[in-house]
Amino acid sequence: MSLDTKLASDEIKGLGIDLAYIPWMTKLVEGYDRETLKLLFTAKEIDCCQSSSYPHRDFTVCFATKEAVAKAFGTGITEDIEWNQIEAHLTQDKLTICLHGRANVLAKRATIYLWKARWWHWDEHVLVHALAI
Amino acid sequence: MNTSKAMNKLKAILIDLGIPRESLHDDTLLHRDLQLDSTEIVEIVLGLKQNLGIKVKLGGRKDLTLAQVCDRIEAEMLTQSQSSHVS
Repeated sequence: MSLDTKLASDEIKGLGIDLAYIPWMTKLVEGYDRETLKLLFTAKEIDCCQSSSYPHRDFTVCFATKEAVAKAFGTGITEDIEWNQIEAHLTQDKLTICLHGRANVLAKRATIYLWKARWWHWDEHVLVHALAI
Repeated sequence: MNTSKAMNKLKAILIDLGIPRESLHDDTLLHRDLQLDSTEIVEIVLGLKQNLGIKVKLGGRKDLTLAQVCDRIEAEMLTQSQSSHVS
């Protein structure tokens, strides 16, 4: 039995998937100033995406990650969990997740200590899959 | 900002999203009546931030009417105004 199979049967606390449309994110990123975008993204995410060769794609991956993680909590984005409390780190093809504030508290309360995430990109869409372990 | 100004700003954002003006009333519900999805909620939140400088939380499970959203806008404006007087 592989590690992932074992995790699937024993340890997965939540699963979230999100599909996001890159042109929609392009409109947001080009239409709003940095201060406004910080409602969605952390400063680190904005800096990383803006310095990327594919900024709009990477902003879309970050946003879809937030939605996928929020769904893995079983609630989606709520008044308790804000978008910028879920931070996505995208380095080359590796996607990692860092939680802040209330999202971090809720994860600990749910005994979630690890997130595994993967992303796919095709045409003008991004799909992110997040597992809470 | 009074209620009618908050409502006018909210309606302007919703009309920009392609929602017909005649669908927008005080008791119109964001999800049940307007069928807004999560991306449109994002645009409302960002629009309010950019236009009014306030952060309004709309992500909860409770479906809100336009009047209830305006109440939140005004409460946030009041909080912001009080904190600026204190500082």
